[in-house]
Amino acid sequence: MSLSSDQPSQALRDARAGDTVRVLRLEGQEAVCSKLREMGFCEQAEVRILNNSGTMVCSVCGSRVGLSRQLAGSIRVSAAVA
Amino acid sequence: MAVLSETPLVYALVGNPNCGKSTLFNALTGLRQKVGNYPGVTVEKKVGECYSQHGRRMTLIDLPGSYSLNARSPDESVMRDVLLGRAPGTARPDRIVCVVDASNLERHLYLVTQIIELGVPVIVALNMVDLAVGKQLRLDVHRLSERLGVPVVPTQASIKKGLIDLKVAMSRDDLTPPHGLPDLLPVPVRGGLLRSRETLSQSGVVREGAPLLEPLYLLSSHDPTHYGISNEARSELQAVREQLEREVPGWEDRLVAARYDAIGALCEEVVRRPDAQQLSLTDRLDAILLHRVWGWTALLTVLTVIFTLIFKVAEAPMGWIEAVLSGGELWGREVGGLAGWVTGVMPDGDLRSLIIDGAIAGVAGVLVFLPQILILFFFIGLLEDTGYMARLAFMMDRLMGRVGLNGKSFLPILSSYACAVPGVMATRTIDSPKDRLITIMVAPLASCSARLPVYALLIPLLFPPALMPAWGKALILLGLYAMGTLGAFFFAWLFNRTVMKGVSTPLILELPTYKAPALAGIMRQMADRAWMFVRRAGTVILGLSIVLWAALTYPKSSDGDPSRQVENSFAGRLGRVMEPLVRPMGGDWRVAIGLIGAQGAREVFNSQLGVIYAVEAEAEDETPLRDRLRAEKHPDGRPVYSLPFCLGLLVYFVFAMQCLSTVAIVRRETGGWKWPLVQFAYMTGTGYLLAVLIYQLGTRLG
Repeated sequence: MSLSSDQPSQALRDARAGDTVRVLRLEGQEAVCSKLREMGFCEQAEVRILNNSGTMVCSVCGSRVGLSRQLAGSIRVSAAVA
Repeated sequence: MAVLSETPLVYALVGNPNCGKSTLFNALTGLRQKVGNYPGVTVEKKVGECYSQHGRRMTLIDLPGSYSLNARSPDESVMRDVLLGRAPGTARPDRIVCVVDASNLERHLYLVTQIIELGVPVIVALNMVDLAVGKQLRLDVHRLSERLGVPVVPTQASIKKGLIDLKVAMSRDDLTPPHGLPDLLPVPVRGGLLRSRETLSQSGVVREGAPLLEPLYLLSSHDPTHYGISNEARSELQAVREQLEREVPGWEDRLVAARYDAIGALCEEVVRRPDAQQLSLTDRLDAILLHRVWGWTALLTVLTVIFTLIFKVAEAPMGWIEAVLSGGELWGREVGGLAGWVTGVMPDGDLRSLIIDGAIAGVAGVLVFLPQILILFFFIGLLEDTGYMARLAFMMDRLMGRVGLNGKSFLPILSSYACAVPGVMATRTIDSPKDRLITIMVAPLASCSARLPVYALLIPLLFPPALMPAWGKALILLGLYAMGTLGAFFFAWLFNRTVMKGVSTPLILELPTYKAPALAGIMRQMADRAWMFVRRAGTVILGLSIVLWAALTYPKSSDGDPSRQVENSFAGRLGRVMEPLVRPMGGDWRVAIGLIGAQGAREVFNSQLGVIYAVEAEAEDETPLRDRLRAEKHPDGRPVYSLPFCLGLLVYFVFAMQCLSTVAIVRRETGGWKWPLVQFAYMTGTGYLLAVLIYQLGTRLG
């Protein structure tokens, strides 16, 4: 994981709709992180942002997942990948 | 035909939420189903039967939908415990049918990778293949089956496609435990788990040969419940877990990552996607329904329509039920109903009075709410089935987050406007124990339909009829609903700030693909839930009505005057004892009796007053009783039902916990008497204080 900390990162909350980003690391409580991982937000997972206007909807692991903005703030992701 | 006498094969049906599992269950078992409860938790236990190709009986257990064996809510604990053979009263399943959504394999295979490690034969039902076709996905079923090492059967449960193939697979004698996927456990983790299983099986916490991950699942640190695990076993599990954590830090995350890596590789191999990423219908609908303006407009419209229908459409059938049981007007004709019939065939006496005033009146009091509850459940089913319910919860999350609630608390509170009993039952999908408890505590503040008859009786008493246009009444009614709702939010905020500190789980929710609802399934669920409501509430209220009847009937007074009879009865004497409590809010001993009766079920207040004032109150029309109340005076000549008193009484009904069924269900859901008592105290206390305040201020000022 030392690699990912060198990469420029942003909170998932700040990513733009339409972008595809890669999860770098999860911050916050262990229980919440493990739930996130089980829903597909593992380190290195690709996430496409479907909606980020008040509500946050992502496509991860082929399915739509809605998450609170607070939670989206605790997920560090890469800049948009191609 | 020796096979027929064999013990049935037990199948468990598992899958993520929204995979069409229940539809498949219904299609397989038809009407041969039993709905019950798992001991200690109010999670529905659905068991059905069907026959194999060879005529062997097969038992199917429909387990609650879950994303993972790492249980986080009571629903998920039940799935885990049944699969591990740890649920008391439920045999360990011989085989497992794992239902997955073919259009969404990556997500659904996560549970599959856990299930196939359990050491029992598994069949994967690749459901909703139509949706996969719609998404232009091409799945290599043969390859998937080969790689997982289990039979994979494509199905489309909604139109009963693929069921025969599934039954053929389920009938096979030669199914072996899965062997396909390579071992996902990182080597040091495996070593650690082997050692912990050894320790735990020596002390009997897990049985010999239990799945390697059983200790992990039993003590996933997020499980609020730990049903059926003794304290000693728990501390032992905890020790083993801590040791494992020291030896292999982060092992749990590594396992999750290993699973997703394997799933990713598998999907590369078996799923062919269309090249261009195009916006699906769901994406386009979400763009509107989750929009910050249009989304809220749609949400408010939907809720308004539902509420209007609950109250408007239910009116007529409520009248019919009333007429059939207690007598009244049925399609323009005056009928005596069941009560009238009993009056005709039985001689006057205590037994007849018991049947009519006790049993029939009590049962009618419950059944009359059935139409509203059916309509509510119909819409809840519709919202869930189409996929809109998840969006509703998601949209409401920000609003509810302000008072420390979670979007998943929305459905329970919504249900509570019809009846708090199904509302409290619906909280079991909330993961965080704290959020769940707060939701249970405040849900009964939503003005349920049992309060309506009382509101309807009292609101017109507030002002003289000449000063009260119809819209004024409606406005006051709306105000009472708003008061209950704001009260619920206020107390949620208060509990969150004070007694129930702890972690809230931020919302993360899968938003399923929109689809056309399967009406047959919704109807069936409606019938199941309504029946549970009738049975539960019916028994409590029937018993209570009989007790009240007896308290009002005995001891007998010599002359036949009904109001003297009431005054001398046990209830009347109790009313006199309680009078000092009721006087500060402006009531007399008659009101006290009414309130004692209403303590069990709110709507009893009306019938109690009817009995006390010996007024024949017609089913639909409360005018005679209302006129009698209007004329009622204190000994000093002031009217009893004055503006401050009625207003205070209304507010009391908004807040007070007056429902035995709710107390009973809260006790079951929270596993003890503590929380129902706290709830009773804070709700009734608030109602009482406000009523006293309003009366005292009102009489001084006015």
